[in-house]
Amino acid sequence: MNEEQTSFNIGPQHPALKEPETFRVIVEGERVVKAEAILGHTHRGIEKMAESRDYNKTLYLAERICGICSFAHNANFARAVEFVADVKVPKRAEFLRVLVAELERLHSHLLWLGVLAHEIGFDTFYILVWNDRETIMDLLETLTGNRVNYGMNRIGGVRFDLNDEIKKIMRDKIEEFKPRLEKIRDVVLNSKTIIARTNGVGRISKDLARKTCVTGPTARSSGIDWDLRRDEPYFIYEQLDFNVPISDRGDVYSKIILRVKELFESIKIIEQVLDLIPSGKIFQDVRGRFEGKAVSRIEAPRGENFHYVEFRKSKNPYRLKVRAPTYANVVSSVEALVGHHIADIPVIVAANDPCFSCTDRTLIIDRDKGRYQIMSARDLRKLSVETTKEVMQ
Amino acid sequence: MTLEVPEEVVESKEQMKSGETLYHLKSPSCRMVVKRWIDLGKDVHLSSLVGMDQEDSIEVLYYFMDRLDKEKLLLSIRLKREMPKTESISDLIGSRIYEAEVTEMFGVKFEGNEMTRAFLPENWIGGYPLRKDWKKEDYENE
Repeated sequence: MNEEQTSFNIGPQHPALKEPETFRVIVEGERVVKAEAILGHTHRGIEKMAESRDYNKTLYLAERICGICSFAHNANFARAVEFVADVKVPKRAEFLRVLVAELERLHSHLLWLGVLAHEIGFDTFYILVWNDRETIMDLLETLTGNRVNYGMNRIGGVRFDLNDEIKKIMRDKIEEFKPRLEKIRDVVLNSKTIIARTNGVGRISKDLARKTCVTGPTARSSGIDWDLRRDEPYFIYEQLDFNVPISDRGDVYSKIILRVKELFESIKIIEQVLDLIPSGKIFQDVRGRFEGKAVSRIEAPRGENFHYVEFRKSKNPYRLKVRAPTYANVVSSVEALVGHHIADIPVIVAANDPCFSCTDRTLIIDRDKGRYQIMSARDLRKLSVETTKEVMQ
Repeated sequence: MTLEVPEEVVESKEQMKSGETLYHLKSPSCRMVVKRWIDLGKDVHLSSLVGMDQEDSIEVLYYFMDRLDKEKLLLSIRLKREMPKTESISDLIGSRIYEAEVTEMFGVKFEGNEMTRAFLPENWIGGYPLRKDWKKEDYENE
């Protein structure tokens, strides 16, 4: 670091978002020249805890890995254990799993879109999007009784069934939701504010994306045509008709458009599930001790979710390894910061839809001059909002 | 088969319950195998590394996938329990942060990767918490 450069930490705590994270950023004037992510502020030792719990308890522990994509972890762990236990899950249960997975994708993408709008100071859109997200949350609550941590899965199937009344509510609400989604798409495509702040910002090239092994919408927006739902179909995705949107621009704007397109595909999937769902049992009873190793990977809203489990004639897993999608994507978002303004940091970091984005406290240190300064999240966001105003003039 | 693992480096094979083949390698490093794939221009994706305490040794599993023909496999290396070390593949593929996690949780040194902390605090002195013989009581007073 030379005399022209300043180092500062962003994070770890912040009031706005889901998880704390620190970014150590070195800047020259306003431009970022180097960045590094410091993880682990919410490391809870879940993998170690799992070793002292049986698979039924670990299932609920897995659900608590993430509050937003809780179903993805829960279903992924259940699927991995079902491999080891050689259980065949009833068809109806797999349809129900897809239904909740896609509802979760809808609410997760809408939450992200709102957060991103908030970061660039477009609060009208943020409130509009989060209002529409409530429809989806209501549907999840109608089916499972919970807005988050649905407790939907059990080893061998699911716990909650769909009846005609819930089916009708789902169809009506989805019909109601569609024109609102079209409105969201129109705003995203035409809003000068969104385009000015995100177009060409935080570009992740295909080579970088491939080298850093990113997953999910982050990979697809950089031209990597890969979606586990289509390419390695699990549950009953191979019976469904849907597209995988892809872009090769890699910037924040392409990520917004890609996720909005994915929302339409999720709606398509939900409608098909409601039409095609067969009748029958919703779970297969699973008991006993297991032996074996299995890996399960499913497409969570943020990308590939990886669970490795190993049992040794036991009820407790000998080893559970979880790799959440943000863990794979964080390296690329750090690389994407280089060359951009400090005011772009919240936008670029939020663009990968990590389980963290903004900052509560920013510590600016000039080591050579022995100077330091503390900036709050509000200050950093204010800087971002001011930039939006400037570029809009 | 596009992701080829040469027979001469394989000690044994195992079938995972989820369908993938797990190759136990003879050498305590998988760098040679991965470098060959990269040199041949394969579209390889590394999903994750899994550290394992096998009681007599430390095992590291690598989960690879080839996007072109949708093939997936696991490589496994066994390392000595005392001062386990292997070569890093972080210059070839995005394994930097995964290796750092195995380093701090199991004490495996990855030569060539300067990142040694992923999740634990910088001043952590509590040993390697995912090893089976780790007990929190040993570190409670420190």
